[in-house]
Amino acid sequence: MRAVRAVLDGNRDAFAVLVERDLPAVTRVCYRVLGNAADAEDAAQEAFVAAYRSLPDWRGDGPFIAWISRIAVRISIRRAHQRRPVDWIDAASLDGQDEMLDPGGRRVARHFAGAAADAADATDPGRLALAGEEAAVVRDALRSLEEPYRETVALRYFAGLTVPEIAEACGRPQGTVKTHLHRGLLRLRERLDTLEAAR
Amino acid sequence: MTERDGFTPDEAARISSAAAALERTARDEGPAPRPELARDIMAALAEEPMPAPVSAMAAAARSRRPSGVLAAIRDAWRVALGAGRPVAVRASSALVILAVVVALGGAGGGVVAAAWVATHPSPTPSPVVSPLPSPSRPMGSAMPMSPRPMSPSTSMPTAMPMTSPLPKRTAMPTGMPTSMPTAMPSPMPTRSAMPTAMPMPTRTVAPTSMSKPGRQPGSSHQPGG
Repeated sequence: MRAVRAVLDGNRDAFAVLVERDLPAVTRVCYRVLGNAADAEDAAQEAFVAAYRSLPDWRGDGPFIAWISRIAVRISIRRAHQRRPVDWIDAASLDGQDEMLDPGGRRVARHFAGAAADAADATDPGRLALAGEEAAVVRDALRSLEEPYRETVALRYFAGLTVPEIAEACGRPQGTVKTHLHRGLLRLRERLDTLEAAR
Repeated sequence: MTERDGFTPDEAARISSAAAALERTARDEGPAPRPELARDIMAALAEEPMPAPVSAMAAAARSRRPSGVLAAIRDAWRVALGAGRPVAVRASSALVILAVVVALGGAGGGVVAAAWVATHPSPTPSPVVSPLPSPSRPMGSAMPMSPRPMSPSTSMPTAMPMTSPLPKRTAMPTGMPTSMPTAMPSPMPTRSAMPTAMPMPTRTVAPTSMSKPGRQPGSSHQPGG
């Protein structure tokens, strides 16, 4: 809060304290939504710039990380929607440009394979491939949720915020946040069933 | 999460299953951000104006830093005219710009007025030395008469005597016609009704009908006689 006050008083360098402290967590949130390290860094940078611009509007009644996590989730979801959707590639049409093999030997689009390639040093490639595939399905299901369920679920499970922190960051009562969370999880399960059946 | 929470056991199980899938996904934290990322973010912010120019300008004024005040004014301009910022921030920045413009305009106007006064010495003494009273001075007796009635109203002795009587005289005729047309026609019909009510000519005919005297002296005596 002191750093924020200093920034609002004209000390631009005070924002560096917030960046150094919260950048890993914000990048992690973006990565969990996007599933790609490069996209996550771009989204994190955009989130910090947006937070800097909107700093006078921050009420300051919660932790700064909760507020900027909400910004990061929104930016990441918007970027995920702007991004080209993941398509499984036909084995007969492999040209090596936009596809690559994941650790399980499956041909996937390059940006989806990036998440699996980031964990290529693991000892069990098959397990990692399954985990990566499930994570991709979960991300797709989360992005397909309506607001405010999508934001609430993402803040709870991807940003790691508690229900009171979500309530403060979103300006909603805690009971409303709990309702959104439970209904969002129910809808997410329905989407997961649909997506898993489609694959 | 039971039926007391409004969910059936089946729904509670599905909620737990979805939560478990999310937790497994969130277990992958991804790679750590590049070390240069923080520097890149601060470099991007260096091109941004200050987020709150009003408070930044107040802080700079408190610490007596003219450069800080100028930078805050510049930031307020960029925030007020730029996009992607909250309306409240843009409005406060616009107010800062407006206050600066008003202050500069007032100061500039004062400087211009002072310069005008300095370069054009006293245009006000000319009425005092006005040549218009001079024609009245040869009049001798008219000279003391004309300024005295006007002295209570204005201090201008020359032009005001010529203009002040005229509105008084014009005010009188303008007030009169408004009452005159309504008053004048009303007495006229009453007087015109008098002659019509007077059947005087008809009564004057009566002597003409009395032609008997004509018959009396002349004809009656001639045939009869």
